Amino acid sequence: VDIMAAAMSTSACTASTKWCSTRLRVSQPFKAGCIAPPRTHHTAPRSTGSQLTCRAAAAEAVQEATSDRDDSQVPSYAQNVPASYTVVDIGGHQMIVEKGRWYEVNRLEAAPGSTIRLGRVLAHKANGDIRFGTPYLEDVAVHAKVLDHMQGEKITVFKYKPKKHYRRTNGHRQQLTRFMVTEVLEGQEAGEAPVAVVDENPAAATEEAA
Amino acid sequence: MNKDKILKLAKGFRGRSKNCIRVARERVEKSLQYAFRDRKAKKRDMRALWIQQINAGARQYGVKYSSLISGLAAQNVGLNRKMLSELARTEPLSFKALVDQVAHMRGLSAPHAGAALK
Repeated sequence: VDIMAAAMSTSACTASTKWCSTRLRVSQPFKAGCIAPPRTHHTAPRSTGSQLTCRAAAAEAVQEATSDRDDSQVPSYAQNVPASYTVVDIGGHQMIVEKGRWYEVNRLEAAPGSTIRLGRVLAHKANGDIRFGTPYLEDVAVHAKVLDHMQGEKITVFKYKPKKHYRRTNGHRQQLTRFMVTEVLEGQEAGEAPVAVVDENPAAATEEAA
Repeated sequence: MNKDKILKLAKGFRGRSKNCIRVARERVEKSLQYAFRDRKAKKRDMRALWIQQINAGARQYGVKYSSLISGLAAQNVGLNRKMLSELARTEPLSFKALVDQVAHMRGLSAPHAGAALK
């Protein structure tokens, strides 16, 4: 099935400084009924493939566009949504990445300063359309540069059982990696762009760069 | 842990718990136990929150959470609940398209927003 999604493209998505360059944070609970009004509706044709793209019916979009909900009812968390981003699966987490931002994830097996390609792309939004991969989008290439490896803040792990003479104290620092997304390529460019480092290892499901 | 470390961890506690080592030690140990327990509970709580958000978002369009999740799994969409809840909050049209696709696949009618879920 080939369906396309009409994403809500907000007006004037400002520069990347507004979106915090950290991991995704869930901020406010969802309030049923606060649906942001649609701004535009794109129906650009998409190439067939193993991806799942959703198509919102034109009639429905027109019906929603005629509702009299104004901009003031858009919740704060639904404002300033980036115009283009990618959902990738990396470091055991799924995260939204944008070009030009840095992110911290669990330790990756890539040397600092090297370029990696984030292989598991789950969804990609660009030009007002969101495409979902089934399960991955093969034609979207996210290149990132590993900035450095570091450790997180120390956490004191304290275990204690009362009246059983049992107590353990350990410290823990999570090993992390910081990377910056250098470019996001689609379609023809994704296949042709050279990657600076060794190719992905398809056998290992949890490694991004060999 | 020595006394200084314990008293540093006891900052903000009530009464003598922040000043007197005998009381502070007990309170700090309790706080560290709670932290250990809640580091694990936070993951559960967040997932429950995401599920509630996805459920609310899907029911607006007449699809229950269970149907949505099973439908997405059948179509091999790999987004997890965190991402789905984020979609439901910030990209309602795309979330609606996903829900409609699942409803279409399962043969359910897809009523427009506001329809009551039977």
